[in-house]
Amino acid sequence: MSEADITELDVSGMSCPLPIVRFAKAMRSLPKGSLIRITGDDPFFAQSMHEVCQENHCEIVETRSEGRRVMLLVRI
Amino acid sequence: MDTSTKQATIMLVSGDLEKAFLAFVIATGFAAMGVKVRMWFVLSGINCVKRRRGLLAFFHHVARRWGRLKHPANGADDGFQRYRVNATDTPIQDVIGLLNRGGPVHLPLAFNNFGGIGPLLFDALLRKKKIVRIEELIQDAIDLDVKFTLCSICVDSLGLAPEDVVVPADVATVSHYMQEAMAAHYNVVM
Repeated sequence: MSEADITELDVSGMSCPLPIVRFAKAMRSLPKGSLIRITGDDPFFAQSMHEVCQENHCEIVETRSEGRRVMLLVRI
Repeated sequence: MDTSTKQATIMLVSGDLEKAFLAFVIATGFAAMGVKVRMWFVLSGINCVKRRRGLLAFFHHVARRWGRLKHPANGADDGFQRYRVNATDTPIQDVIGLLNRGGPVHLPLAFNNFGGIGPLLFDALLRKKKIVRIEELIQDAIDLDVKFTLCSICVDSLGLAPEDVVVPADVATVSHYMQEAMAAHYNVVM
């Protein structure tokens, strides 16, 4: 899977519940199996994304964090 | 996304800002989790989604109603005839509609309202903290396919129509609510 196939979604500066709402919207617009890289800096961002992915049967492929910023690569 | 069969119903009875805000946070959260959500608006809860009308709309509404009373055939193809009994309409409905204009950005706080200053402080706080506000949450709920329903008693008694609210809503009765609430995994009335 090359970089071009990954949809970027930046939710930095947004707080609960906007990151998961934006992610759910993106998930609806994309076909199943595509990759989303979502970046957020809310203190509960990583935890809520794990819960949402668990409910929606998505897979978190890769997790990276730089200070507050967390980057998750999700296969929907 | 898989087709989930989980359902949630949220009934909003109160027209207070905190409760409306909480109801929409729960609704969008559930929708993001892939749950089918239906929100019910009854009594003052309709204020949370009411389209705010001015004085001109009031006079237009009254003129239209009087025209329909004089010539009943005029209103035969009117959209809200389907939901309402127009024969028993009274001017009291127009007065209530003028006094209680509602609107999602004009909701009072239940506590520490301070005659309208409380919601302004609350709004300034949310802006400063970059937390989502109720008008954005309503748009997000629409985008996430949350369903909205108005109570038929309220629609009839207050003289409302589905186009008087800012969300795409339908009108249903108590039996429909019972059916939905029994099928739902989560049901809350606030």
